[in-house]
Amino acid sequence: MSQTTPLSQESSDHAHKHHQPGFIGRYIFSTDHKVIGIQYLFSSLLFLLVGGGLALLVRLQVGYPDQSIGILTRLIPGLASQIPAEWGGRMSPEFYTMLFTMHATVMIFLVIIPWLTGAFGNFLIPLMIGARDMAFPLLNMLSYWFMWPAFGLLMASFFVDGGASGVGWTAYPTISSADLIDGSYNSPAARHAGLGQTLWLLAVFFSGVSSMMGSVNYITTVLHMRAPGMSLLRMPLTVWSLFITAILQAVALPALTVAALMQLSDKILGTVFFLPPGGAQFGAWSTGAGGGQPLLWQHLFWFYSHPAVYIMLLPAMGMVSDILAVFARKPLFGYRPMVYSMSAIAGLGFIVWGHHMFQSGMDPRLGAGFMLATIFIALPSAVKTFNWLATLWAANIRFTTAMLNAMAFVSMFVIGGLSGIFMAVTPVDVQIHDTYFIVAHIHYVLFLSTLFGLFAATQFWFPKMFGRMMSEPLGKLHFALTFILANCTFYPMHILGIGGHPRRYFDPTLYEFLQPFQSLNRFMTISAMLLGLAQLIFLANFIFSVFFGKKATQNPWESNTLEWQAPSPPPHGNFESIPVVYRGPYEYGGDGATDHTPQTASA
Amino acid sequence: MLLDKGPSAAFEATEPAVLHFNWSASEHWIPLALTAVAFFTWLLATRSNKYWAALIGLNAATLAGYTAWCACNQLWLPETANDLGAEVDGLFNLVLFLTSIFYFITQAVLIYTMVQKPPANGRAKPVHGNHTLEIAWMLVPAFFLAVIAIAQLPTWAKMKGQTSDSSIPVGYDPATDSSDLLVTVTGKQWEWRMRYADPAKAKPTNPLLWASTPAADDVHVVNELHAWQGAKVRLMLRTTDVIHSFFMPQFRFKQDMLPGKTIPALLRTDKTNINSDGTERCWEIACAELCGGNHYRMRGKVVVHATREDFMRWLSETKTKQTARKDSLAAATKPSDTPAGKE
Ligand code: HEM
Ligand SMILES: [Cu+2]
Ligand SMILES: [Cu+2]
Repeated sequence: MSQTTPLSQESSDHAHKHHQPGFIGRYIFSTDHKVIGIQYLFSSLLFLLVGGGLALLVRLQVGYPDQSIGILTRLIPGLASQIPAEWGGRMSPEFYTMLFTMHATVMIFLVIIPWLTGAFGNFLIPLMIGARDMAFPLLNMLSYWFMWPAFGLLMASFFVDGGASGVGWTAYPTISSADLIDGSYNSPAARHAGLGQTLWLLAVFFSGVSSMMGSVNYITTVLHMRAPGMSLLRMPLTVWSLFITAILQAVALPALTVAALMQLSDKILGTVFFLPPGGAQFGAWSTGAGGGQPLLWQHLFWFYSHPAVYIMLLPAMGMVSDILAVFARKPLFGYRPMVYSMSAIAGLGFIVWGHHMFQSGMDPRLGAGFMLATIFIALPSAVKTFNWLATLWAANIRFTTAMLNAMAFVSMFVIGGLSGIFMAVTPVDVQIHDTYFIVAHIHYVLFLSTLFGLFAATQFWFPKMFGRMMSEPLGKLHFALTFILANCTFYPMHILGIGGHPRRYFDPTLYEFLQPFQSLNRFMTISAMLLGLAQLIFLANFIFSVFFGKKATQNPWESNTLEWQAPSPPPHGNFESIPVVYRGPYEYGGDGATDHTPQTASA
Repeated sequence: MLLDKGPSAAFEATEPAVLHFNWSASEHWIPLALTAVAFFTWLLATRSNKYWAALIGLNAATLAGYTAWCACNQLWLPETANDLGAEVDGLFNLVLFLTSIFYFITQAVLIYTMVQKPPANGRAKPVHGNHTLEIAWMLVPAFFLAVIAIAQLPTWAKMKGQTSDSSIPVGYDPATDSSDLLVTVTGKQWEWRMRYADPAKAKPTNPLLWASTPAADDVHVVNELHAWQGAKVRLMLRTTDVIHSFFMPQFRFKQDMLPGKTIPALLRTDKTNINSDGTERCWEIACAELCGGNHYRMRGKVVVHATREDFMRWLSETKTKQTARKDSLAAATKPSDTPAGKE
């Protein structure tokens, strides 16, 4: 972990109890929110490499269905045994389903959520509200360490009998749940839905427990540990967004965790929560009678996973709002509407889960109700977009790397939000549901929005984390390449989806109606490879800057919020003395002596 | 050359795909060229930030232009095979139109802010918000969203409702089923099994019951759905194992099959895919819900005969073949569970 976090400058009025920690206590099992935040950051970068690699393999297969993956099976021992010999060095369809399942799982549960809430939530919340640490430091440490079993289980599952789970991150029964309970680990529904799926469920469980511990911590910290004068409506939007996200998680996660346990129990104890009364037949083998409902899983799953998509977006929205205001040198436009619209997204987010189930066999009247709620969730998103644009209007813009990424976020989020409306139109969704259109939508909101927000945030808060600056020229190069190549990789997916190209297809060339799209598939694969390469620039910049970056001053971006009142990097306990807050976070511009007025400046 | 698609491929690709990577194909060099464009923009942007505006602005414009190009070059919604298709596409176009307006306005404003003159003396006016503006830009999108929400309701009712003419979705009532043709479609790993009632007999009185209890003289077909032009087809969608999703792109039809349930659906076949010279346009069936490794192989086809007579002729022929095959098989196999197989 970071060797640059000095823990020696403890302040004397530092209230909370601590002993003198050794190396392990400081950097491995640390309870300091900043160290935990940085641990999360490093881990999610590592997982990003894993998840990205899996994605490139998925693309390789779709673009060039007859490509051999001999290099891979030779390099990774144990992998070859997962692919039947008759595929002659190519990946098998089962292996392909494992790849996209693991890609989604790693990206969602181990990259985006930990990077947003784990890394930035941990690092920023106490600093931005003027607290010395989280409310429950020990719980915080546990939350981090619960993520590792999840990662270990997922990776190990590639090498177990049957291979990793290959039933999609949505894990719909009965393909995921049907299992032989007599000690055999190969599911009759799909060889790779046996032990691999059991491990997947355990991983989701661990990651759920981890996030839950985090969110309890964030909620308590924001509610109880704000510095004097830091009223709720003086909190920066970053803190608001993380706070709302934590509430979403606390309310929605139990549904997923419980559902995962139910599916686990179906698999290993022989319960029938998700098995219909008539059971399911697989060749000569039958599960026997059930008594449950496959649809029940979909409801439980989406009851969590729709809010989860906002969990994966809101913190990026909050951080981008702050970054836009800082580099626009202008107050954020419409602070309160921004807070209200985030709350509205969170609230509405709980009643739209059915839009993932329009074609599931759910009653179409219910579908119409979900459609109405879904259409109107676009409204708060629109309001936010307008407020960002108004913030930039007549501003004195500084084109830093963080700012460029934040502006790209705005440009790209518009696309992701608008494609959502197509799918919310139920008759149109009939055509584009479970096609590449959805894949395009997901990636415009999660890659081109959230990940750009994360690049912006990482570049922006890096000086506070490590006391050094990331390189601006390298940052901008990474931005330019990523921006263009990500659009090349994901935009044509809309077109494929409109043409009806189903998602999760191992080999689309079998279909006559997909023939015209195959050259696009190759285009996207090449773009994706280049996009993957461009990320190495970011990694190199990151690692190089940790050690050799330019030394950062306390407030390099001339920002108003409290974290910049602490040294870079802040010592254990964060502040010399607890700051007192006199004003909101966005007082930029105007005709005063400087163009910004920190929150701690008294009248 | 026909491709070897691995073990037990049910279908061959109609056209060999470009298998090997070669730089002369535009899909291979364009990404590289665009990478170079991004690189040079980065170089130029060290001189002026306007180049960043150019990067983001050109991207937004290119995406729009590219979309239009695809729409004009058949990289778009497939041919429609029924009236409903026109309605769905109409809704699609409505949404495309409204979202485009929003897209162009927001992108234009964003680009404008990137090239605008910085405020005099480098200090922006500290504006914190504007109440009237906030109300306005909430009400305007709300209005358009309401239009979108309402405009789609009748089509949804027709697509998922069980009668063709109600403007709210109605549940299925076997007693009032007025369809012209009944087909039970059963998904199983990894094929579609279609079952028709014996053409010589009257339509089953309770289609729901018939869907779950096959009669001995039903006609079985694998991976081919037949009907005739102008028919109202009642599909009874079932699965024996996992969730599949019955997807026919030309019909704008997609419906999951749920283990344990029979899901009735109404399909209108307003157009035939038999050309006047007797050749057949390929209308495919695909599975749209991950159902295991061979999910991508659940390929089927739809044949909409020009007339009911043509269809009946096909059905009777299939029935005759099936009976012949059954007779020739030893009594050892259970006939009612064994589909006759695809010819
Ligand atoms: C602007 C408002 C939005 C609307 C109206 C909307 C609408 C929808 C709809 C209707 C679907 C289901 C499509 C289908 O399966 O047929 C969907 C899928 C999805 N959306 Fe959105 N969406 C919006 C914003 C977002 C945001 C902000 C995110 C994430 C940050 C997001 C992430 C996803 C994901 C991950 C899926 C696909 C899940 C899967 O099937 O694997 N959406 N969206
Ligand atoms: Cu959703
Ligand atoms: Cu399938």
